[in-house]
Amino acid sequence: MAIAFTINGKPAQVEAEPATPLLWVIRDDLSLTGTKFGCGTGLCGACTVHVNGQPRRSCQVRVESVAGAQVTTIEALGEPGRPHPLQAAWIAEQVAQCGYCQSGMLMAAAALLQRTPQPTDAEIDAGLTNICRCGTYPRIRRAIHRASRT
Amino acid sequence: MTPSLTDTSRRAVLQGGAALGFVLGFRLPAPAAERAEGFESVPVVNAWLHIAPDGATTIYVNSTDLGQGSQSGMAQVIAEEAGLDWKAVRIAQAPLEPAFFKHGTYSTGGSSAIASQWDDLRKVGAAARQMLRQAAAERWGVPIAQCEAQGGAVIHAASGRSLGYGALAVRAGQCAPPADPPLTPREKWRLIGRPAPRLDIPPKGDGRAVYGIDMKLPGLLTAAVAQCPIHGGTLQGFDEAAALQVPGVRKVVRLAPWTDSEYVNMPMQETVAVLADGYWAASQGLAALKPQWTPPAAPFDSAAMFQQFRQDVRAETPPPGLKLARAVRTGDDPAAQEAKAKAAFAAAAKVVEAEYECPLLAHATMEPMTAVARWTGDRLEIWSGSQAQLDLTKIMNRRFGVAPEKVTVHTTYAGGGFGRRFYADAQIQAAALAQAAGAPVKVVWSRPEDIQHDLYRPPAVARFRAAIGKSGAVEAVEMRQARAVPFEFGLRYERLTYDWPALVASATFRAQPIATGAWRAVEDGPQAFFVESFVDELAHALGQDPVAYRRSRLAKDPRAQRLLEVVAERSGWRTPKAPGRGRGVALWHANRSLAAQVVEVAQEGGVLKVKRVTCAFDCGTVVNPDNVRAQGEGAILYGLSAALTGEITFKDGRVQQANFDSYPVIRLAEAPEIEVHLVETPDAVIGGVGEPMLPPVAPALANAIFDLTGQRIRRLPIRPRLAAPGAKTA
Repeated sequence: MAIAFTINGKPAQVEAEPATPLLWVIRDDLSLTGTKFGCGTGLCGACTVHVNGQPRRSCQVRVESVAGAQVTTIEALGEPGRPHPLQAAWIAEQVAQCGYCQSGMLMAAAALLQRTPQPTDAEIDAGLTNICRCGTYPRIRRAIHRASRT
Repeated sequence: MTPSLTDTSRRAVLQGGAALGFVLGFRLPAPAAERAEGFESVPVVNAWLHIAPDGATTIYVNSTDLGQGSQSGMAQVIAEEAGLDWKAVRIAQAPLEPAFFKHGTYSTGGSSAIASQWDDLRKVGAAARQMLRQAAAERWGVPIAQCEAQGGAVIHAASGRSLGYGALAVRAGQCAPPADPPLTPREKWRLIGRPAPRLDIPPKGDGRAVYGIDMKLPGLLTAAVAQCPIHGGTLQGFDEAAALQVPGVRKVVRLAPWTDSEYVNMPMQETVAVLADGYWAASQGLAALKPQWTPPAAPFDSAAMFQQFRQDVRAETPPPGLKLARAVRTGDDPAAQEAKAKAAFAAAAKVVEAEYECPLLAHATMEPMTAVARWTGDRLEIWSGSQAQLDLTKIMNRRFGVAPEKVTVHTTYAGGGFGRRFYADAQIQAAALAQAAGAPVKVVWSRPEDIQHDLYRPPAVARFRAAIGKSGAVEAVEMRQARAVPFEFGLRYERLTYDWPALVASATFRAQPIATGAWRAVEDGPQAFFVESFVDELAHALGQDPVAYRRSRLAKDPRAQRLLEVVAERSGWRTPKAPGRGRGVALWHANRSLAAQVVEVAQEGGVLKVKRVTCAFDCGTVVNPDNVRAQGEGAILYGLSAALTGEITFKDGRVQQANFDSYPVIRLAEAPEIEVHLVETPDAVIGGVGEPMLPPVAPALANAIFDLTGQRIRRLPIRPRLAAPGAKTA
């Protein structure tokens, strides 16, 4: 079926089975590969995107459910030459290691700051349940605090 | 070109080199036909540094980016010696050419990228600096001694003239590379020892970085695979018609089991793959395919293996008929040690004995195994985040008969490695499927495939005994282990520096029908758990403080003594603990570096919480302190995750874990506060960084739990549940 929605501010129309996870539409049909596949069951958060401003694990979102919605991926978290404060903080704190989980981490962190502009450590712990295997967690905490001050 | 995907084909570099003007000491590789055999290593001055006329500088590096930061670290060393402006430097993956071989191969592992190439990297940069100075001296008609090079320019102070490296590059490239260029003395370093920003981090924060899973090619098909879930079993049947009815599905391909003659620890199971236009269609096709499997005659059972290992270590003497390895400390005479140990146990006032176990562990990299393959005539191209590019060409030769020099390896970013990407199973599948389909194929493993078809960290059971003499000192230590083959690494006993009068160590090996392989810090992980848990038990048996006891037995190892002092100081070891807290310490030598850690734990509502890890680390010389700390944080969390919950078990031939619910890993909320304190030993050989901070964390944690509860943890994983104080420990 044809499904129309907005991706990163631009209209998109895709032909897909209604149950196709949004993740694979974003990656394979729209060629936006910054959003990653990690577990396929909503456990790891590598595929986190924003749907109407809310963080969603896109491997668990049926594409039919985003018809008419605003979808934002890591590619549009900042703008060219004007990175999101979290992206700047991520570089300042040298957060990324392998980097594979970082798109999802940044999208989850951006959603957290939307809800809670100055989160405590406990709020960060509760708000960021994504998995990182390289162990960037301490720097993620620091970078979120840094971004929340700007 | 994407900022991340780097083309490792030779042609690209030759063309690039010609266009860029300056290729340091680049010698054209001999034509393929003239090469003796495959890719023999030849002594060449290297081709690492390219400077374009506009000053843009590319440093080619021969390590895969797995997140460990060694590409930037290597570039930092070259940039230091070459006097480059760090802001002008970009990094590219070096081609698979002998000029870039490290000890005859091209691979990333053993924390060796900088540690084993330190002198070479410095010489590359120093030679470039010398050649650039020479070019400037000729241009200005002044003595080279008056030409200073730094910050990407050569300066003639007397006349106030300066020229950027870009303007000098073409002429510099024509100068003969000096054989023994002067190296910059430590006190004049401007980049080494500084937290230069890693060059790979920006594209990892905005979606630009391209990993194997992100590859696109014209006509690319995506494959979802089902590998026989009962290890050693066979494919009984499947519903091909149902799979082909799924929209987007193109083909079903069956792959026979195969074991490489060199990688015998990687038995590839019989596999069926569904090829489709995209991953979702492929995975839906695989679900519709419903493959059925027949188990082998004797399905593997990990509990039975551990039971057998326990019997092996408890036997009076090592069971005959098994491969047996003995190990000694550096400098020990095995026969004399055996005789001394025998006498010490015969005369012992007390014997301390303990048995330890380490389970099978999966790597669980964030990016599951992925690879892309394309055949063009008799040529094969592979795109992946491989850790072993040269071996990849050889294994393709053994599997497909393709000449190694006709295999082009493109290295992408890797979504974590930890040893897993040494192994080419996904790449072999991609090449076989591309051959069968007549089209380029991308293989993407599901998370359950990744967890259930890993090459696991080898399991082991250890039984350690110590003879305590009438004087109240440890007179002899005996270490017995039962282990699995085919995969093995050295037992690391030669690195033990505890000066017990006698130490005898041996291990027996039983063949197991499972895939095992390198896992971050390889054998140092289990060995540190065994040894450092036992040393803690000895300290307590002797009524001594664990830090003080270790220091007293390390008279021949002043670096270790100093590191223990640093970690004791920084962790507040000698200050009173808060109520409900416990502390444990451990120390380990690995990859020519030393790490000492103190873990602090608390019991909160019956649940174990790891509150703080203090690490002191000595790798000799630190190239990038911020990245060394990042690697410490990463190694500690990876090791902690495994120690707390990591365990793979087999029942009836099947792995019983499948995803992050049944194979849980540490999350942000559970991550303790981590401090990494760097200690340098400038005279020492530079050591590795990515792995050596992992081994101490499991024993330090287990020792902290003992401190808190009086319970000894002798089997990993610990699982964050604590029995009532005084209860018997497993």
